[in-house]
Amino acid sequence: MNNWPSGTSTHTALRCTVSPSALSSSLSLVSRAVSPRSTLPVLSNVLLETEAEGLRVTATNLDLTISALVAATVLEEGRVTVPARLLAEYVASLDETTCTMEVDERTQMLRITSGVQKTNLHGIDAVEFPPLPARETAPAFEVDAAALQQAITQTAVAASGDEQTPVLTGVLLHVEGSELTLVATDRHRLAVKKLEAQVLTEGVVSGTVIVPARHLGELARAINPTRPRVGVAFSDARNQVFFTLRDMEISSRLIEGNYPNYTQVIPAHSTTTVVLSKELLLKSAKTAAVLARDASNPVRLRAGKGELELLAQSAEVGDHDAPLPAKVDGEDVQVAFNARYLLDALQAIDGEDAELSLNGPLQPAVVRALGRDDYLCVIMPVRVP
Amino acid sequence: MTTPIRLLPPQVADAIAAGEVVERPAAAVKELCENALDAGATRVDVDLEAGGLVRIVVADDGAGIPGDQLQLAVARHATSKLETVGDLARVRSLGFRGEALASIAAVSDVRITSRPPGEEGAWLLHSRAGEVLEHRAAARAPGTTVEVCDLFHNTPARLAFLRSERSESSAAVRAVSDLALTHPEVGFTCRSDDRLVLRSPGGSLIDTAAAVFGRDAGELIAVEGPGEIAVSGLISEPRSHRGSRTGLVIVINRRRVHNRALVVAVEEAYAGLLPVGRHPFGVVEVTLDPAMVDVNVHPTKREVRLREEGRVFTAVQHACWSALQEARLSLAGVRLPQLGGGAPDAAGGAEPELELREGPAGRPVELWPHPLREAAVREADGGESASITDREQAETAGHRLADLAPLRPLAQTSEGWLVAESPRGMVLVDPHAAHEKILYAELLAEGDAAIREGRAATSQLLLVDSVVSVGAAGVERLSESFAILAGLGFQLEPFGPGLVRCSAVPAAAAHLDPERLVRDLLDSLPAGGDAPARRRRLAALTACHAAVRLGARLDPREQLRLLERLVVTPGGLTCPHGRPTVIVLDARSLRRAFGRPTV
Ligand SMILES: Nc1ncnc2c1ncn2[C@@H]1O[C@H](COP(=O)(O)OP(=O)(O)OP(=O)(O)O)[C@@H](O)[C@H]1O
Ligand SMILES: [Mg+2]
Ligand SMILES: [Zn+2]
Repeated sequence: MNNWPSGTSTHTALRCTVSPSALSSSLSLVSRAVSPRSTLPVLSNVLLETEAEGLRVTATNLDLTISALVAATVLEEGRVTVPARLLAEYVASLDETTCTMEVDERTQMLRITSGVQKTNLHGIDAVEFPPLPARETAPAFEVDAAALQQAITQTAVAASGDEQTPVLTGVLLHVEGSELTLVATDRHRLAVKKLEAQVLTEGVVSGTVIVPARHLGELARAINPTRPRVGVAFSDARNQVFFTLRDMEISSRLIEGNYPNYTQVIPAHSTTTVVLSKELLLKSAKTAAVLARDASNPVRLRAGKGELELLAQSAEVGDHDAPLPAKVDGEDVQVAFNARYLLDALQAIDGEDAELSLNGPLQPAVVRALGRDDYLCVIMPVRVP
Repeated sequence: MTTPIRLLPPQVADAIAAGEVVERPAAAVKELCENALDAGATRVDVDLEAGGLVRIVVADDGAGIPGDQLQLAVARHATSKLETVGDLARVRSLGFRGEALASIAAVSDVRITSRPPGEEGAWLLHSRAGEVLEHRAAARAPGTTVEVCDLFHNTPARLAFLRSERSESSAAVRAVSDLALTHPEVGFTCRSDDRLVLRSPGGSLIDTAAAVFGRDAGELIAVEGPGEIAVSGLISEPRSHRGSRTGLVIVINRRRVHNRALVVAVEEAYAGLLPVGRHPFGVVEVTLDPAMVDVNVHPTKREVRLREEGRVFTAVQHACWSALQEARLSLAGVRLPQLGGGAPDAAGGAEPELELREGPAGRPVELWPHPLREAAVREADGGESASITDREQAETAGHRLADLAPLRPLAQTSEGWLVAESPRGMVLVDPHAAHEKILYAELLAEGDAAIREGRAATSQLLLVDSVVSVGAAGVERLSESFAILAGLGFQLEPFGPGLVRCSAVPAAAAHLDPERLVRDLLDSLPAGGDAPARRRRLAALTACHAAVRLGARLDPREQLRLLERLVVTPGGLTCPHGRPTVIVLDARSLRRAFGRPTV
């Protein structure tokens, strides 16, 4: 790194003082949008720009943009981009004493001074930073952040990891009046979550978009009690979604395409209903699924006579056989599931008791918390001998 | 070979398939060498110029041709080897038609110099385009030299059909190599444009095979299958393989033959051990009652018809398969640094390589797995007499691999390899290859069980069907394999023009996008090909896609589970592409590598 040019002739383009810990926590969230290997060097950088209330930190990989406003005392306005990882690592290492950040306009060098510690980072002119998607309108509706965070974890797990069918790598967001529905499926299972939305605009809000599950994961990561509400806005062109949090904005490109008609695959009835302690079932299912990636050994469920039996057959580890007390209504049934899907579903539901609605060995089953209809998970069985 | 040469009675001559014997230089080379072998030669020296087009010289130290019979030797249907039609059924000599020399002489300039061992001097016969130009006394050590110049000079049409000089030359060399392999006791040399291209010492088959297949061929595995249909030979280790089938020499009663079924029989024995599209090489010799062979199918004697081909097929497959099972796992490119001599890394700065040799007791610890048993043998054999059952095979294989059990995971390297410990020493595992082979074996085993029990194979049903657009031709090609795919757990059906609907996938492949998987399956479907081969290929592809990637992190429980499954997987020492799944670093090798005294 070059030495900082000395002398009074130096013109500074950005100067502010900021708390390293505040900057650091924002940077750790924002830099998640930095593409690890980008051909465009400026995309490895974060954009720092002064605003009236502080310092805005933004990163983008063109699909996902995350920005956060960090409380700062702005001494001189300006913008610059600097390597995201370097900056984040350096700031994280600083003591909790206010640091000063200043940029030399000519060299685009960022100098950070913290006590006696000084460092220089090579920047790239902010004009090279790609134009960011601009939110034209105020959020259309708002949801409770903690509820949304849970909804995302409950559904994103069922999204497909394979980019081959892009719509399935996303989570469907459907808003209808004051209800927001999140849906994800990887063709084998389907997760559906409903939560309450507070409409902020005049008139009827209704619409459906598909947001990459990965991007929603970044949103969920940013949610904590200091950010209690999440506003949702769509670009006029309907190709971007914006999530606004107290001090942050996360915007994502939307996935285009037709989402499968999910309502059609949710069975309306069941031939067997099993109610039992979620904890017991979860524990048993975990034992049965020793190797999560090992999909070729499904877990078999046998329901009947006041109990549910879990069987994991694999010649190598021996049989695992665990009858659990259960309330069984309807026909006795034996059905097999991919252990991972069953585990994911059970982990996603709330409440003490789980309710399994089964439809024989070849038809979809529904897993939900007893007495709750805000979340359900449909699982397709494995056909076994 | 002192039987005089006589003209065959016309009806005998007619009984012999008509047609051109010599269609390219390689064919002339083969005929001349065969004559030398029939004459009991112990050495045959071949010299080629321009792939044999300009000049072919074959010299031997055999029985020779008496001067007064030289003219007869180049006459059509003159042979010393056969006299009645009945003899034809019991052919043991390579030549029997009395046609080769005459055919060659008709299209070239031939000089035969020959001296039977008992005679004082040699005689030379010079003919051009079938016409005798000269017949005189000459000098030569006992034996025969046939020099053929200007082959096809008078048949431009034939000349036009020849391929490049290079390919003619390699075909000619291959003809000599084939004979060297079928007659390992005879010493052969072959020069092409003054370059020595083959020198087989004349002795054991191993030495000959080493000369023919070259040093890079690795160690060849001996095949031994005694019996009424005796099978012997040397075949390549699964880790060395070739891009074409030409390296596999099939010999029946000492005659190199081209028999597609037997090539398949050998390849079947390698099922699951070789990469797709790669082929084994070596020589597989079948000895049986000559009455079971009809060699007179093709004028160049290249193809033979076998009575009871199914039995021969099974015998060949069984023998090769057992040989592969017995052979040890020697690992490609794994070489311990030579600590006494120059260290390999001193030379080129290359990474030291590791080599695995023998176990503590001097016995091999690394064993070749056993190929997965396929229905192919049973099918080829009419279903009844398959001599090895799945069960036997699984047990043998399990026992072999069990030498590494219990396999305890120790760590995973940053690149993704697993480091494990076994009673036989430290073991490095390729998790992808291992998982791939486990899934491959499971897919095939489950498919077999499903067929046996008359039920559908285990599969993950789809909640949302996948409709794959593959085009009309794609639908056509896929539908030929629907039944095979169903046996692996796929449920596919035509769904409108150019579309296929997938409503179930193998449970092991549940995490994959069915659309991509179906497309990849279609891409890898070989054009035509027999059903068992197609099935293995589709299973291998599915397993490859479904298996963990090399870089993926596995938690200790997953590692343990993977290793536990591997040690009970038939043929688990190699992946379906033939690469090793494990590398065993036994105590002795490690001690040697570290320069410590071996205990
Ligand atoms: N190198 C040789 N040494 C001794 N005798 C030979 C040699 N080459 C040819 N002969 C004699 O010449 C005869 C004719 O040879 P030719 O190859 O034309 O016929 P063949 O070997 O009997 O039958 P085929 O046409 O099937 O090869 C042989 O039967 C053999 O007696
Ligand atoms: Mg001959
Ligand atoms: Zn693979």
